[in-house]
Amino acid sequence: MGVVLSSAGNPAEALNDRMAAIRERSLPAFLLRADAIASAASAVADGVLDDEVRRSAEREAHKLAGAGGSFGFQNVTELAREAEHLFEGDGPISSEVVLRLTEIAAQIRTALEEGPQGEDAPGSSPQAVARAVEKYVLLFSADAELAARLGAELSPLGVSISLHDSVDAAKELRQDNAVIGAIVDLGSDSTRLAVVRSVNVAFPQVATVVCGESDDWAVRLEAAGVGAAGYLSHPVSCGDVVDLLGGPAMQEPCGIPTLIALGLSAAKCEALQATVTESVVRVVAVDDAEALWGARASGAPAVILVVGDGARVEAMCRVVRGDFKFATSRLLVLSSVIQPGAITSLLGAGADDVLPESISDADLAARVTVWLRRDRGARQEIDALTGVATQRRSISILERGAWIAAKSETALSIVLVEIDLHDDIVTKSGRLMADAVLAHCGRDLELEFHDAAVIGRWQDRGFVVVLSNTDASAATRRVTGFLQRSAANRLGVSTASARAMFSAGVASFPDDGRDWRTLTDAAVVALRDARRNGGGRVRSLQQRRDEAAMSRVDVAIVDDDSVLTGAIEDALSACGHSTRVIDNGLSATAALAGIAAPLSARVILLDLGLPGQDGFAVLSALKQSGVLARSCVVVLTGQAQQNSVVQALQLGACDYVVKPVDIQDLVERVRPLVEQLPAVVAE
Amino acid sequence: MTKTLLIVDDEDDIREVAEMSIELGTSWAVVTASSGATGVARAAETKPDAILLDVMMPGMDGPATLAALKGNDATQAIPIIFLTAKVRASDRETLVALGATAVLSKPFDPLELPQQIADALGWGLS
Repeated sequence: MGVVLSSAGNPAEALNDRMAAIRERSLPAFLLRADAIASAASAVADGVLDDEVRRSAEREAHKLAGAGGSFGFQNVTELAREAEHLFEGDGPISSEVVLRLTEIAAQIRTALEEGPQGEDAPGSSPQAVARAVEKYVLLFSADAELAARLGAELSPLGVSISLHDSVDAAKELRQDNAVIGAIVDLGSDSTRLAVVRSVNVAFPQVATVVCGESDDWAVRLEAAGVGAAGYLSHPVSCGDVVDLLGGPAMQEPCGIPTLIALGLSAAKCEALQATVTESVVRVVAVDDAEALWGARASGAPAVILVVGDGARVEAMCRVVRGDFKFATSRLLVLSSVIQPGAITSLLGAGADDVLPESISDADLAARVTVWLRRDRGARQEIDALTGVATQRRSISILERGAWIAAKSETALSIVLVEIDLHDDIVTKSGRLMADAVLAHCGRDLELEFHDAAVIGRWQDRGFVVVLSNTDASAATRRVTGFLQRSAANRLGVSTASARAMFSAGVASFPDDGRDWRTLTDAAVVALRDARRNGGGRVRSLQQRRDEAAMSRVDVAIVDDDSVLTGAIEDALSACGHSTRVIDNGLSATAALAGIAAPLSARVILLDLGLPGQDGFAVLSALKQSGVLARSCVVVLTGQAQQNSVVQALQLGACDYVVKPVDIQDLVERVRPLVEQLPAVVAE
Repeated sequence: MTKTLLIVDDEDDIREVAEMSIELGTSWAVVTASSGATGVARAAETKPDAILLDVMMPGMDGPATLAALKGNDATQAIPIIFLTAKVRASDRETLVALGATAVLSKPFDPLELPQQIADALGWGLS
C-alpha cells in the first residue's frame, strides 16, 4: 500500500491505478448482471417469467446500480436503476417494457465494454480488444461499384469488403480467422457457381452468399445445391447480406419471436397478429420467397408460414430446411391440396405441419399458438452465443460440422466443453444465474475460438467447437490454454456462491472416428473421462488411450450403478484383485475392444442395460475384436431377462449373475476365473 | 488510537473498493466481512469503532444484521452506517429509524467515501 502511495504521489492517482485492476476483475460479474436483466426480459417475452426470476433480476439490477457508479460507470447506474424500477412490483410487464429492458441490457453491456466514462482505460476490457480484430467479407466480383457500396454500408459494423479475382488470391491475402463471410457475384454468368465450391473448400468456416442478375428460382436452388447460404438478386442490399452472413459475428439476438407469413393475405395476417395472444409475436408478411430471406432482420423466425402447394412449395421447404440458419424455425404450410400423398411429400420435404388453406382465422391462430408454445420450450434453451441455439440447433450445428468435414479433406477436431458443477450453480444461485454463466462462457468461447468452423451449444450445459486444420493434439493444447486462462481470470465466473470450472473432450478426424457420428461419440467419451477424473480437465481420446494402455486389471466392472460397482470393487480388492470400473457401454467398448484395445481384464463383469451402448453391443464388439479369447465375460442381468441370458451366452459370455447381486457369491464365482485364465500378455 | 472500521458487504468488488478507498484516504484500520452473519461474529471479535453495512445481502440482510448487533451487549453501542442503492427518502428514513447512525448512497465515489464516513461519525481522517 505504502509503495503505491509513494510512487503515485497522491491518493487519487493511486486509487485510479488500483480501481482499474479491480474493475477489470469485476467486469465478468457486472456483465453477468446485465445478462440477468436480458434473460428476465426474454423470459417475459416467452411468457415464462416467474416471480422468483423477476425478483432475482430486480436484485441484480439493484446491485448493478449500486456498484456501477463506484467504478466510474455512472450511466450503468442510471440504466440499472431504470431496469430495477421496471421489474418492481407484481403487475404485468408490457411488450414495450420488454423491448426497453432488452435495450437497457445491451446499453449496459456496451457501456461496460467501452470502459468508464471520462477516463481512458484502453484494454481494460477483453471484449473491447477482441472487437478490434479486423473482419472481412470476401467479395468475388468484377463489379467495383458493388464493392464500394457494400464496403461503405458494412463499415459501421466494423467489417471491410475484400475484393478478389480468385479464391487463391484471397486465401493468400486474408487470414482464415479474419474472414467472416463471402459473397460470390455471378453477374449474368451462372457457371461462376463453381467458385462457391472453391470458396467453401478454402474457407470452410464461413457462409457464402451468391448474388446475380437472374431472379430465377432454378438458380436459387442450384446455388443452394453447391452450398451457398443464400441467393440475392441485384441490386443487392447491405441489410440482406448482413442477414445472410449474419450469425454471431454481426447479429444481435432479439427477444421477441417472429412469424414470417409468405403469401398470406394482409387481412389474415392482421387477424393472426390480433388473435395470437398466447405469446408476444411479431407477424411479418412477405410476398415472395426472396423476401423471406430478407425478412430475417432479427435472427431466425420462430415460425414460417407458407401458403401454396405443389413442387414449388416442396422445393422451398427443402431450401429452408437445407439452410442451417433456419434450423430452429418451424415451417407451416397452408395448402389447398389436403391429400395423404401431398401432405406426406410436404412433411418429407421438411414442413413441420400442413394445414388446409381454408382454415378459419381462429383455428389458424390456435395452431400457430401451439407451435409458438413449442418454440418457447425450445427457446428456453436459447444460447446467447448465437441467440438461436437449441437442442435442435446443436444437431444442426453438428450436421454443418459433418458437411465441413466432408468438404474440407483436412484435419478436423471436435471439442466438447462442459461446465462443471452446473447443477450446483442452479441449486445455489438459480437458473437465471446459471443461464447467465452459460451465456457468458459462450461469449468467451466465441472470442477465443473466433476462427472455429462451428461453435455452438452442446446439450444442456456445454459447447461444441469444431476446428478445421487442427489435429487432436493441437486442439487439446488450445483448449487447455483456454481453460487455464479462464480459470485464472475471465472465465472463472465467480459469484458469491458459485464458481464455474470446465472439462473438455477432444477427438479428431480421422484418428478417433471415420465418420462424424463416431467422431462425436469419441469426443463424448473423452469428455466423460475428463469429468470423471475430477473435472477442470481436458482429455483427448488418444491421450486417454495412452494412459489406459498402461493398465491391466484382473476384473473390469462395466455397470452404471455406482453403488453396486463400489460394493463389488471393495469386495474384490479385499481379495487382492485389481479392478477398473467403467460406467457406460461406449467407454467399455473403447477401452476393452477399441482400436488400440488399451485395457485388458481377465474377467469382465458386464451389465446388459448400459447407457450409451447396451451390453449386447459391447459383447459383440468384444467378440469381434478377439478379446473373448483371453478374457471371460460374466453378464449381470435382471431376473426378468432370461432370454437375454441365453442370448448373451450364445454371444460368448462364460457365466451370468442375476441382480440383485449377492456380492459374496459373485466374488466366489469370479475368483476361480481370475486364477484359471492365463496371465494377460501385454500388447 | 487508530480507529477500526468493519465493512460488511456480500459483493467482493464493492468491499474491495471501499476497503481500498479507506486505506488510501485515511489511517483507519479496516476489517471486512462478506455476509451479515460473519459481520456479527467479526464485530463481536474485533470490536470495531464503526460498521459500514450493506442493506441488501442474501440470507441475513442489513436490517437483520443491525438488529443482531444491537441485541448483543458487546456490539450494541457500535455506530452503524448503512450503505444502500435505495434512492427513496422513505427507504432511508426507515433505515435511520432502525437505529443507524447514517445512510450513505451506492454508488459512492471512492475518493469521497472516507470524508462522508468521517462526517457522519465526527471522526478525523487520520
